[in-house]
Amino acid sequence: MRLKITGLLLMLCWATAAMAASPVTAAPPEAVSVAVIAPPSDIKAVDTPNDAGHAITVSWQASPDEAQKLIEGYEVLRSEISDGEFVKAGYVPYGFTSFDDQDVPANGKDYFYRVRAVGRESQALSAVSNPARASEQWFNTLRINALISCILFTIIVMIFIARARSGQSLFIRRIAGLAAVEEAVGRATEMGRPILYVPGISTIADVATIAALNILGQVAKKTAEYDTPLLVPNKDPVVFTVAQEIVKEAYNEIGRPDAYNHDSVFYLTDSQMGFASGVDGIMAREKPATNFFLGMFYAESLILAETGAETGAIQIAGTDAIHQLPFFITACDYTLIGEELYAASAYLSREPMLLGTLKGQDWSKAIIVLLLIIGLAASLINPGIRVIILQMLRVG
Amino acid sequence: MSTNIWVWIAALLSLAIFSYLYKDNPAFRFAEHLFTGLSVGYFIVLYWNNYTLPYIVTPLVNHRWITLIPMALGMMYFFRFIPKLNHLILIPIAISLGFWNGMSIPLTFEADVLKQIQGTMVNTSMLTNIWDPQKGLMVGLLVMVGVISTITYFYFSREHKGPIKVTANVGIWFVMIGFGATFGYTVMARVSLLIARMQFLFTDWIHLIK
Amino acid sequence: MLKFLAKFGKLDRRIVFALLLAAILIPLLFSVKSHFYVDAATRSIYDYVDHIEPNGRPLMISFDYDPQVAAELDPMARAVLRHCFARGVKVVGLSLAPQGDAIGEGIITKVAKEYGKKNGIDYCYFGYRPGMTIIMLQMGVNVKKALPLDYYQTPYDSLPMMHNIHNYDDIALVLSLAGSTYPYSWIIFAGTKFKVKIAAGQTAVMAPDNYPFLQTGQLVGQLGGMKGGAEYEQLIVEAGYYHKSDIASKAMSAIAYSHLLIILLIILGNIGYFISKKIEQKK
Repeated sequence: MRLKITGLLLMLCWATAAMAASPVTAAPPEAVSVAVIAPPSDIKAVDTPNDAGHAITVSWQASPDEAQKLIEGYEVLRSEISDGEFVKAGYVPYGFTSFDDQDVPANGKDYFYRVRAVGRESQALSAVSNPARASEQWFNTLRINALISCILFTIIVMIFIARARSGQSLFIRRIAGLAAVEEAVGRATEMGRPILYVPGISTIADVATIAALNILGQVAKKTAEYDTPLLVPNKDPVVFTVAQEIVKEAYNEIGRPDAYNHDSVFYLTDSQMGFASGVDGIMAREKPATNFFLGMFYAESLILAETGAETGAIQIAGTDAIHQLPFFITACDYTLIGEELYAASAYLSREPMLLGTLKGQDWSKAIIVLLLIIGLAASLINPGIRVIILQMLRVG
Repeated sequence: MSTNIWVWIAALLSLAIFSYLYKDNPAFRFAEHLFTGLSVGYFIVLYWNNYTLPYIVTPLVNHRWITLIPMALGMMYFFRFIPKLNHLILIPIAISLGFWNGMSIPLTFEADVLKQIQGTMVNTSMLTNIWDPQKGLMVGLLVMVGVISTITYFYFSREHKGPIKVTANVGIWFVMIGFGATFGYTVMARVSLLIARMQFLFTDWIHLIK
Repeated sequence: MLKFLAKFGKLDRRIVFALLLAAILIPLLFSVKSHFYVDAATRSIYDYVDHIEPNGRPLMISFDYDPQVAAELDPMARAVLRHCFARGVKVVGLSLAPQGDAIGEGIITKVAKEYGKKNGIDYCYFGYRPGMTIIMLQMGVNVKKALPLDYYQTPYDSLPMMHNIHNYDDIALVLSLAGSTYPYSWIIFAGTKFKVKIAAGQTAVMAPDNYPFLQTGQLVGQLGGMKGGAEYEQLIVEAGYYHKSDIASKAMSAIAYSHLLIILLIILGNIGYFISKKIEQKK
């Protein structure tokens, strides 16, 4: 308490001294205009932290007339000398009590600030601020949390990839849609009709396409086993080549290279709607018992799924295109939603990279949920803990 | 009726595309192919004017030889067609991936993860305004339940049994409601496009709507 | 009766198209008026733009969209530009989508003409700049480097309005109009990194994606689909910045009736589906 009073007294002394030293402020604000509004007070200038220099943050106490809605905004003025000529550095509307002056001419040099309250008819100029110097920082401390979370996430993923590579079995739950895959292949075999597999219409660079191709490998193994005809139309030439290799390999692995039909994986066209109508035609003519639409889809999703539903096929779809998911969910029997597609691909292929990443993501999700629950509990029990968590999450 | 030839062309092409709603026909095919050809042409000109010319030709003409380095890196993409040098394509890919990840991962973490967790947390200011539809406590809790249960649904390391199953089932409800909203918005989007075309045909073309 | 209802389960799509056409055309032809409320996300953009200092820091409007979604986004662009020009707020226009180039120019020059605003002094248009995120990042450091020439090939330094604009600190608000995820990139690469305020104008398909960012304040506000445009049109007419309701407001009644029709068809379609299922089971 005593410290506070001493501090206040010191500030008062300083303010009086500053007023006496500066002729501009010695004259009361009324000199600038008719004294209708009071000027802002307590002007403080500090180097803007965590930046590349050339910036000073100015803050002030709002004019008491703001409550009466007499103030429109504040003009921030800068000068190299406390009693020199002040130039406009910026303007903020009422309600703001700070301004980052990003155009400070030189680093490491003293600058002074004044803030002018601008009303409808009159203005009021504040006292001069303390001197402040702009400087640059190499490290943005406000981003430490992002750094820590990136490092943490990377470490988690690396550990799991290493564990998967070393042959440890990592548990991933079976996804409901996957059970349907086997059933769907069985159904096509019984009916003596082909299976249609569309690996999306995007390029090989898309994660969803890669996931779709992984699952294609597993489906092809099943069709090889049961000797069910498989149809894989493609829109992208690179995806087409990869798909062809994958299917061929799957038939080899099962020991049925003789059953592999080179024309079962084919290239249709590069035009989006052209591809959709091409696949529509296949569905109408061949009447596949099962349709797979896995990978990246755009506006053609509904056209494909609708036609498929009309032919009476069992349809299994999966994509991470959020805007197409509603259409697949309404028109297909099973839909792998977003990450389920990646999970299904990791589950089936057991690829260490995919498994490790998926596990790493799971852990990160668990951490996020934990943070949320702690945050909720804390704000109910002790708001202080919540402030600490928010401080940790603060974004620079 | 409009006297502007471009309005006529646009109107007739619109009608040609609409004719597909009845069935596939030559008018539709013509309009579709015209559009495909047009967009290819547009992009060729665009790439030349916005990439090749300002980033390669002009600097080289002005003897800014440093341009040769990024240009060489870009050319490496063509090694895809030479089987022997195929592996060199990894160099430009590695450079652009490295730059891109370095640039976007920390920012995405901040914007998508940290800031969003912060936004999901219930705060004390919500207590004063329990039923407010924007910032009230009930909405805050609903968002929190939605986030936690949806994350639980997409958690693959545990079997969906017991409490996890219950939470995940709540989560899938949130997901479906979200899809419903997206679906509804999509309907509005498509209808809006149709309305705008109708406005064009009946206002700009045949002047029936004032 | 049951058989009649069952028919709705498998209605010919051409009948649906015809009904929809009627639901849209009748309100348009007879200029049926409709009332609609203004969404909070729209109002917050309006309020923000309403507080930008006239002749001060400009609003940056990015035409990040292609002609196929112009129907939804053009009305927003016009309404926001009218609001700015009527208040004397300066505008910097650009496009990060290849085909947004000419769209932006057409709209900005037309609206500027309405208010007698001059290119280079009251507004600038830079056209399409390739590189998307690179441009977003570069403008945080140096706008001049990112936008060296305007749409008409005038150098940056010859544009009086741009003299005081160095980076995002000199921009009051960035409004990205897009039919894809451009606003999301703006949030990450401009908003998060450089702390500039971002607002989005999105097609209705994309609008739901941004709600998390509205909740956290990473977006100042959002205009969603044609309704967003209509809301903004209504706000500027109410405030007297513009004299008549524009194209999106006129479309609202057609939207309302077509939505009613679709809701009705969904309900009837479901009833029809269940009835026809029951009939089949009986057989």
